[in-house]
Formats: sequence, structure tokens, C-alpha cells
Amino acid sequence: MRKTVMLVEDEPNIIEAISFVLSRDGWNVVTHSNGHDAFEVILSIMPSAIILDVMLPKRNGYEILRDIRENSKTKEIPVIVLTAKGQKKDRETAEKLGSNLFMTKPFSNSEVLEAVRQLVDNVEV
Amino acid sequence: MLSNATTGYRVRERRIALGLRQMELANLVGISTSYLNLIEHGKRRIGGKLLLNLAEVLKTESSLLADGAEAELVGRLNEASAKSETKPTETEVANSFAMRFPYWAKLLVSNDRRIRELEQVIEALSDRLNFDPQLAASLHEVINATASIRSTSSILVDTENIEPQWQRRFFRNISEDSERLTSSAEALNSYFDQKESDETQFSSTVEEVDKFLEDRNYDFLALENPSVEIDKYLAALNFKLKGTKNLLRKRLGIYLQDAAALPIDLLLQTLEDYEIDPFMLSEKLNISIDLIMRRLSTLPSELIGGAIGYVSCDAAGAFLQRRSLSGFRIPKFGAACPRWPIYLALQRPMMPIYQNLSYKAQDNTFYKVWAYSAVPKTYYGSKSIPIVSHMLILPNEPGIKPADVNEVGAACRVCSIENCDWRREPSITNKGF
Repeated sequence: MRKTVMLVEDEPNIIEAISFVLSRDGWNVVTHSNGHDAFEVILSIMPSAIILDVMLPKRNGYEILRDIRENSKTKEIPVIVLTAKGQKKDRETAEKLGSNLFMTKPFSNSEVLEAVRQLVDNVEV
Repeated sequence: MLSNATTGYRVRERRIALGLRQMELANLVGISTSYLNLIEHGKRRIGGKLLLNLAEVLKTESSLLADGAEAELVGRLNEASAKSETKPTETEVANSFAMRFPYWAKLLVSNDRRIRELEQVIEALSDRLNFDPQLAASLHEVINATASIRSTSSILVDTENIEPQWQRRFFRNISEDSERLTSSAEALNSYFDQKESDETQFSSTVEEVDKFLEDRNYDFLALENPSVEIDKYLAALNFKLKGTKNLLRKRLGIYLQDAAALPIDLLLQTLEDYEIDPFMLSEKLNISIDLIMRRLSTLPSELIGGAIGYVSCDAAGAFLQRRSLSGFRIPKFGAACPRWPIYLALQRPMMPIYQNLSYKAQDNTFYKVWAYSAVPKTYYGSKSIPIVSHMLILPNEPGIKPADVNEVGAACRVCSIENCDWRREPSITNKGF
């Protein structure tokens, strides 16, 4: 059964590119482009991994990450924070809030793919 | 103790390098093995004849055993390693490294210093990113467009036999993102090249008021007519920023008070006989220096015989008012060059300060500068009047180099004066920034 990756990102072309890469690798990709109800969607889908942008409309990625980690159902889902804000304090914030990985844009498709594979495999182990 | 340990360590290192055992060396210099052991572990001082004997046997200079690497170099090596996640296993490693490889030690220290400087630059730029939403938004747009182009290009290059419809889609995406990138880059370029005359961009009400006054050549003589109602005058004006009108009301209020105390006719008549020198004018007219400086700074340039510059700041050094003078740049953001006499005046209230200034960015251009800050009559309590320091700037006669010139810049970040004891941050204009 194809595992699901949820991509929370508001840049349409980035959504298209990452979705293409992950789909070709056998992942089912669900995308969501605003922060307002992203957590509710995560709760309903329960993906195997989440790629989470920070600068989102309505609600930023850190707030969503906090919700993910504070909810008993979602707290174990691996999260990759993928953001244009690559300063040291952003990394520290993401790590403090419980991200599994912090990646900055521009990113390499192969690194994102490898990160998803490893995080999902580690969770299963 | 450190120097004992250092000397002893050097003796030991040198002995081992020569392949000598402790007993052999001890015999050669005429001391016991146990004593040599204490020396090598920094537990005993050595000097004088023993040091000379050891140096001779170890085929080195006594000064190299005793002084070795410079203490400062060792200190800097220790500083550099303090930030590392892994630590040296022996306390004397830095000293040994410095002694054995002085060139590499100095290179390492120099690189560490450079890294720290760059970290400060990054921090300063990061602060700017954090506090400038327009800049942050533009950069965010650039990064996202770049990320999309990179990802999409990789797909096109790496995916064999990609379906035509995907290929077309991704080419379209690259085209769109390239246009976005171009627009964002142009917006950033405009942002950094923004001219001061751009009326649409004001970062503060102070800036908008200064611009308003400048656009009218500081000609508000008509308002000095008692029949003019200031509120009606202000009601007809529109400003971009909230609060500008109130600030202008306050400034015009002070202007009119100054005009009442020093009517324009009296001032102009006095200027016929005396040159523009606020300290002298104050004495002649028996009017406070700060009032004279404010009055001169808010008159049309043709009325006072030419261009004039002015800046005032509060007790914290933040600029309150600016009247720009061609060639003498007054920073829009942050503090100016600490050598400006306006700051000296803050430290010496009630003391008129006159200086001839040379502005670094303008070779062979000199300025007459008067600076003064008054002590308010009521200093303590809720009714205290804020301290304000004033600086009036006049260009000097061309071709004349005055004596005792104080060389200043606009602000440290863009100033090329080298070896300045007042510098508070590196300059982007200096080599090695």
C-alpha cells in the first residue's frame, strides 16, 4: 500500500515539483496550501510523513508543528520543515518544536526524497 | 604557573624530539631525573644557568624554551578552540602547536578572527532582515522562485522519458518562476537604490516631516503672519504616515515660538552686519544659542545667503530633525559618525563647540560646524524638558583649507577612515570587509 506524505506548502510550482518527485518514487502525496486548517487535514489523513513550510497564509508552520507534537495521535509523525528562512534561530525554533529535519530552500529533490524515505523507515523500525 | 608549565612542556617536547630519555638529559645538565620530571610537568621554575644548560644540550635557544610562542597567540588559539565542539586533551596543546607551527597557528588565529567578523556582519544583516518587512518579503520571494526553478529543472534533467504534458507543464513553471525572479530581483535592486526623493517610502514620521519642510525650501514665513491659523493650514495637508501631521504641528509650533522670539526682520538685519555664526549671533541678540540654530535651520536658503545643514538629536543620540546639505550626508537610519560634534555637545551641555570638519567622502571639502546642547531649566521630575543637541553645518569657502580639521564620516558602516579609534563596526568600503 502506498504510504502518504502530506505537503503543506503554498507555492504552487514547488508543490507540483515535490509532488512529482515523491509520486514517481511511489508515495501518495496530499497537498495543502494554507496554514489555517492544515492541522485538521493532518489529523484526518494521518500521513506517514509531513513536509511543512513555515511561511504559510493564515497560520505559520511553527504553530502547526506545535499542534502536531502536542496531539497524542500525531505527535509521532515525522516532520520535515522546509523553509526559505534558513537562519540559525529558525533552525533552533524548528528543532525546539520537534521537527525531525530542517531543510532550507532552495533544496535538492534527491535530498527531500531521501529524507522522506529515511524518516518513514526509521519510524517503522 | 602557566609559564612554568609552558617552559617545562617545551623542554619535554624538545627532549623527545631529540630522542633523549629523561635520565640522559638530566645527567647531561647535572640534575636529578626526578627534578627534571618536576620541571617538565611545570612544578618547578627554571632560569639562569640551568636554562642555558638545557638549551645548549637540547640544541636550541634559551629564549625559545623560556618565551616560546607569544602569549597572545596562544590565548587566541585557546579562544578559537573554545567554540569548537571537541576540546583539546591537554591544556598545553595550544602552546605546543604555536611553538612548533607558528605560521599555521597565526593563520588559524587570523581565519578565526575573520570568521568572527563575518558572523557579526551576518548577524547585522539578519537583524535587518528581521526588522525590515519589505526586504524580508522580497528575499522570501526570490528564494521561493529560485527553489522552484531548481527543483523543476532537476526533474527535467533527471527524469528519463518524462511525459510530454509534464514536460510542457514544468517548462511553463520555469518560465513563470523566472519572471517572478526577475521582478523580485528588480524590486530588491530598487529597494537598495531607493532615492531620497521617493515620496512614497517613508520609514518614519520624522522623515516625512523633514521631506515636507525640504520640499518647501523651509519657507514658512507666511505662517509668521498672526492672521494665519495653523490648524486650518494643517487641515489642508495630507501625509502618508499616521502621526506625521501631529509631529508637523509640534515642529511648526516651535518654529512660531522661535519666530516670535526672533522676528525675521531683526535676524536679517543682524545678518547684514554679521556672518552666520550662531554663537556670535546669540551674544549680539541676547537670545539662546539653540533658538538661533533652530531659527537659522528653518529659513529658506536664499534668505540666509546659501545652503545650510542642520541636525538635532535627543539625549540618546537619536536624530530629531535633519536638514540635508549637499555633500554632507546625514544617515537616515541609525547613528552617525561618533566624531560629529553634536555628540560631543551632549557630553558638554551649555558649551558652544565649533569645529572645522572634513567629510571623508568628499575630498577637499570642508565645513564649518557649530554644536550646542542646552541644559533644560527643569531637569528632574515629570515636567523636565528633554535635552536636545543641535548641529549647524555650513560649507566652507571653496579652495580654503582651514586649520585644525576634524575628519569625519557619515556612519561607520560606510566610512573609509582607517585606524579610527571611534569606529564601532567594520566598514563595507574597507579592504577585507
